[in-house]
Amino acid sequence: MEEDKIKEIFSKFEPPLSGESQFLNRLEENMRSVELVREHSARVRSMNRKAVLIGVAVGFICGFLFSLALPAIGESMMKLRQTVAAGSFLGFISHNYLPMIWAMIAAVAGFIALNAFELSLFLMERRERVER
Amino acid sequence: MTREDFIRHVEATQKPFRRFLVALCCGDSQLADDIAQESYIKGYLSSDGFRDSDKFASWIYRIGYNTFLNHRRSLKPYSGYAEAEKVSAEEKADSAFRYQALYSALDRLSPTERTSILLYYMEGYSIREISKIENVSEDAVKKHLQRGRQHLKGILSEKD
Repeated sequence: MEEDKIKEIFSKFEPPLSGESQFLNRLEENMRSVELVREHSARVRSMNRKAVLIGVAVGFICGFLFSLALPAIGESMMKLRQTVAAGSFLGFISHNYLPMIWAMIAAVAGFIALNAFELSLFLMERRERVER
Repeated sequence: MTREDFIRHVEATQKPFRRFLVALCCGDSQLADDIAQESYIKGYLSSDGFRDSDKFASWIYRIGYNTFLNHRRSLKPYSGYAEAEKVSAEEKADSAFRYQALYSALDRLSPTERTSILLYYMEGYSIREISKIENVSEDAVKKHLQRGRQHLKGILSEKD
């Protein structure tokens, strides 16, 4: 078949289409839905970022405050060393208290940070629901 | 790309794009419109990084072609053309049946042959542009066109 014949067939091809305004209106509605989802995702990301910052700040402050108690804990351990036998369990703790204390501070600060994150996220989501 | 720019591009390209999709879907205008809507939405979602306004049309055709292939994989092939061909001449006067022979012929081509034929003869794209839209080599496009022409020649000659 000549190429011209194929071109001729398609040059006369004008299939009936649904109305242009109908098509564009439908597209605008779909675009608006996409924009709503995008806005919601952006709001959720922003809330998560704020909650993470709050969690990190609270955890840091808690860790700092607990570590201020270290000198007092050190003094107590020195007194304990003088009163208990070296080979006993308490004697072991009095000689190796630092890693255990740091581990406890890290665990408690991390736990408080996590709770601060969850609580701030919950409060932000509740405020947004109320505002909407 | 702003929302307004995107809408402007849509208004400029929607008619030929939908016409192309109707031919690609062998006359199923509802499916063609659904694919067109989905293609434009996909384009809108990735329009933030799109800078080359001159290539918007070929970009949207590429998205449309890929969307059509995805639809085709998930749907059963339409087999109603044999029935439609038996419709009498009087009924064929209805505009919906005007291109029945062409749709039937296009339906017998593979998706890649059909796309190449339509982009080349209907939309006037060059072989290089078609290769970018279909994401194949230029030689592959030439083969698609050659095979598509041969098939169309055979099918449309039977009907003459």
